[in-house]
Amino acid sequence: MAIRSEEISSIIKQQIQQFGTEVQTVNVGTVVEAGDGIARVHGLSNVASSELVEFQNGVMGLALNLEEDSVGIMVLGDYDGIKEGDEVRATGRIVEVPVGDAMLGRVVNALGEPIDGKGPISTSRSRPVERIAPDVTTRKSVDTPVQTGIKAIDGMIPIGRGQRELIIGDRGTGKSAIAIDAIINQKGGDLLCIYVGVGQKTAKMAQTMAILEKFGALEHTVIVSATASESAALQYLAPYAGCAIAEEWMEQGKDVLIVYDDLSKHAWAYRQVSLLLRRPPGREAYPGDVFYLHSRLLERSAKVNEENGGGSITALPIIETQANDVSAYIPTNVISITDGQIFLENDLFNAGIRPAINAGISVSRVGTAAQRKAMKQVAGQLRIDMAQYRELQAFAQFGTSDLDVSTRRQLERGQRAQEILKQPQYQPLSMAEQVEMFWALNNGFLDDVPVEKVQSFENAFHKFMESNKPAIAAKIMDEKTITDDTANLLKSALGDFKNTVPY
Amino acid sequence: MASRSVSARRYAEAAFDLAVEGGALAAWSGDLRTIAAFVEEPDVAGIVKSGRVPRPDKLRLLEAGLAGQVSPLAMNLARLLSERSKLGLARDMQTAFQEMVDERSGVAHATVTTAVPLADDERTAIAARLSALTGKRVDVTAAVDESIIGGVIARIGDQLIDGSTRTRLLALKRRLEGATK
Repeated sequence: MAIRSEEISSIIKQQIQQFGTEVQTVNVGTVVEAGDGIARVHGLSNVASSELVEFQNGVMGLALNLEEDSVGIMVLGDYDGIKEGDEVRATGRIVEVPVGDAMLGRVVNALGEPIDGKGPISTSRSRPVERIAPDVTTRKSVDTPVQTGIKAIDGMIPIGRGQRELIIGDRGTGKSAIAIDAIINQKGGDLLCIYVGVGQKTAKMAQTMAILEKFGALEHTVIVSATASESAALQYLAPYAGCAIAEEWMEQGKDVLIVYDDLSKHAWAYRQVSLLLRRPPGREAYPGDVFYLHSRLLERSAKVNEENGGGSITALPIIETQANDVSAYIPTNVISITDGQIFLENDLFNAGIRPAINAGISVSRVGTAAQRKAMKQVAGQLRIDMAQYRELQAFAQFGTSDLDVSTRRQLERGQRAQEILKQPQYQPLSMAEQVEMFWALNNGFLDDVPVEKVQSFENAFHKFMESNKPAIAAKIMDEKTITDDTANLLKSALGDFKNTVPY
Repeated sequence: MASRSVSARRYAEAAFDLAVEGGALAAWSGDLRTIAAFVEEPDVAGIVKSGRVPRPDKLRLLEAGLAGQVSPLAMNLARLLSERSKLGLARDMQTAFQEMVDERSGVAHATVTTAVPLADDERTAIAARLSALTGKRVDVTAAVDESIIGGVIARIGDQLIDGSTRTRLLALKRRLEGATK
C-alpha cells in the first residue's frame, strides 16, 4: 500500500482548513436494553426504518423496529461492548457496500470488508444494499444461455442469463457442487460470478475458496461470506450485499452470475432477528414477511433491455429441504419466486447418479429460449428419450429379455443416456463437447457400447475429439448450429474413433 | 402491549386535557407532584406495592394522606390509579405531564456539556443561541466532561448538537484513513 507523502500533506491541509466548519445536529437515543445482537433504544424519535445508527463504541446498527416509545436496533457487529445507558446516534444513511472491479478475486464479509488478508480494497463507489428491483419497462426477455458446463442442466434444464433457477434438495445431494461447477465453467468467459455463503461452515468456505483458486476461477469471482459463527445480522445482510455488488456490473452492461448458498439459513437468521425484536411469529415461527425477504432479493436478478445497458444478473439460490419435503414453508415460497428449479434427490445420489438431478420434476421456465440452436437440435431428442425411459424404468428391473424389441431399445437408449448425464465434479464441459456427445447418443453411436463402458467411452471420445478433430468443435462454437456438413464430419469422426481407440 | 412509560403517558395526557380545560395547569402540576411524592414515601411505597393489603385499605390510606392537599379531580385520579393498581406509575406520569406542560409553554430542557466549567455569561449566551435554534425558551443544565477535549455538546430531548473537539478529531481521523486506502 504505497502512500505518497505530498498527497497526504495536501489532504491534511485541506482538512485543517475546513476543520470545525460543520457542526452536526443528530438524532440521539439511549440504550435501555441490549443483548443477543439486538438493542432497544429510547429516543431516536426521527430515525427512519432501516436507517444506519451508530453506538457509542463505534459499532453500527440497523433501526428495524420503530415503536411508540422505543426503537429496536439490529447490531451489525460485536454487541458485547454495548451497555445500558449508551448513547446511540442516527447517521441518516442506509447500509452500503463498496462495489466495482476491485472486488473481483477477493473474499469479503457482509459489509464489504475484506477478510482474505490480501490488503484493503480500493473502490471508488458504494451502493446501498437495498434497492427496488428493475421495473417492467426496463426489462427484456431471457435469450442468452448460461453455460453451466453440466450436461444434465445445459441439455435438459437450460438456464438463461437473467433467470432465477432454484437448486433444491436434501443435505449432501450436491447443491453447492452444481453452483461451484457453474462458476468454474465461466473461466475465460464474460460472465462475472459472485458466491454468497450464508451460514456456512467456515471450513467449507475456505475449501470453496481453495477450489475456485485451484481451477483458476477466483479471478472472475467475488466471495461474500457470512459464516455460521457470525451474527444473524450479517447473515441477513450478506445476500443483499452480494446483489448490490452484482447490480453495479449489471448497470455497466455486464452479465453476472450470483449464487446464494443457502437461502434456508438466510431465513433462519432473519427469523432469529425478528423473534428477538419481538415481532409476532407466524408459520414455523418465521415472521410474516419472510416471503418478502426472498422476493425482494430475487426480483433484483433480471435481464435489462439495451436502453438500460443490456446487462443481466442470473441467480442460483440454493434451498435445503428436510426429508425431500418441498411443501414446507420456505421451499414453497422460493419455488414460487424463481423461474424454475433443479431437484436433487438422495436416492439418485446414492444410486450413483451424480449430479443427482431428477430431470422429471426439474423445470426451467425459460427453457429452450436460452439454448443455442446446436444444443436445441440435440437436446430435444434427449429429453424425449429420458422421459420415455423414466416411464419404462420399472420394467427393466427384472431383466429385459421378455420385452418386445422397441421397448427394449428404448430402455437401452435410456440407460445409456443416463450414463452420459452422469458427470464428475469440477469437470465442466464446453457447449461443443456436450453437443458432440449428445449427437453421438441420439444417432445411435452408443447403442452397441455396453452400459458399464459408456463413461469410459465418453472420456476417451472427448480426448480424441480434442486432440484429433478440434476443428469440429470450433465449427460448432462458431456457427452455433449443426449443419449437415458438421453432421457428416461428426459421423466420420465417430467412425474413426470407434475403429481406432479402445475404451 | 404498552410498556410502563406508554401507560403513564396516557394517564398524563388525560390529566393534561383536564388541566387545560380547567385552565389549572400549575395547580395540576403541583398536585401530581404531591401524589408522586406521597406514593414514594418509604412507608406508603411498601403498602402500595404489597399484595396482601386489600384494595379498600390502600384507598383509605390514600385519601387520608392526600386529603386537602390536592384538588378533587386530582384526588379522583389518585383513586382511579389505586383501583387499577397502577399507583406505581405516579412518578412517570408526573414526568410525562411536565414534558407536556413544557411543550405547551415552549420550554425546552437542555444539557450542555463542556470540557471546562462554563462562566455565567457563556451559559447565558449558549442558552440564547439554543433558544434561537429551537424557538423555545431553553433551560440549561451544565455538565463538565473533560474527555470531549473542547467545544460544546448540547442535548435537547433527543436532538444532539455535537460541536465537541473530540468528535471533530474523530471525523478527521476517519476521513484521513479513508483517503489513504
